Amino acid sequence: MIGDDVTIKILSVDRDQVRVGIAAPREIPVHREEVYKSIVEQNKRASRPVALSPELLSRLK
Amino acid sequence: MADTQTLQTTRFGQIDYRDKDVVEFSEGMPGFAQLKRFLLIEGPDYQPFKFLQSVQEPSISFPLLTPQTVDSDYHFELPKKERRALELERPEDAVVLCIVTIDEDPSKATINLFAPVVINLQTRRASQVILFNSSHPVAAPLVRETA
Repeated sequence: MIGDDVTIKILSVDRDQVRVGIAAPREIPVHREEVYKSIVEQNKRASRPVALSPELLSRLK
Repeated sequence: MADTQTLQTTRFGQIDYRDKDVVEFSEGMPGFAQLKRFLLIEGPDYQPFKFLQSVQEPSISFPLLTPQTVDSDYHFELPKKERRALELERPEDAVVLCIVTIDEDPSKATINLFAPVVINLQTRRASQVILFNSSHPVAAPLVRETA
């Protein structure tokens, strides 16, 4: 069992082959900590005093 | 004015402000928990951008845009906990802005629609809200590639 809803099962073992079954819901939410880290990363990059280029401003007009 | 204070910033040079102009992030922002006090800056030179300039750290400023710049249908439900923290009673008191990551290459600029900044203009309380249950992207492209 991984998390609340992911199950991994060994289905069969042959001489040189192991069959593994994975049962999981279609959409597993990404772990909150990973998501939080990506926001921290984005904020750090955004906080740098990079100049607004006239090109960027004109493309938003 | 007697209560005017001066701040020397990296991006804007000298800024004069009053205490009542300060926007307060009581929890800070992810990665910047220690920075609580910001000034919301806008001006003709930066249109349509606004900035949150840290009062405590003169080199730190965040460019922001309204999310409608990239998504005219953008909306989310503000969790009750956040509403209480912001002392937000009327939706019209809130301004929603999203942090933009500016790259040296303009076509690589992105906007964070997943964690919008909400400011209560009445109380000057602000928070970067994380919409854990939404599918909004953390880094949506700001400008489309010109064909």
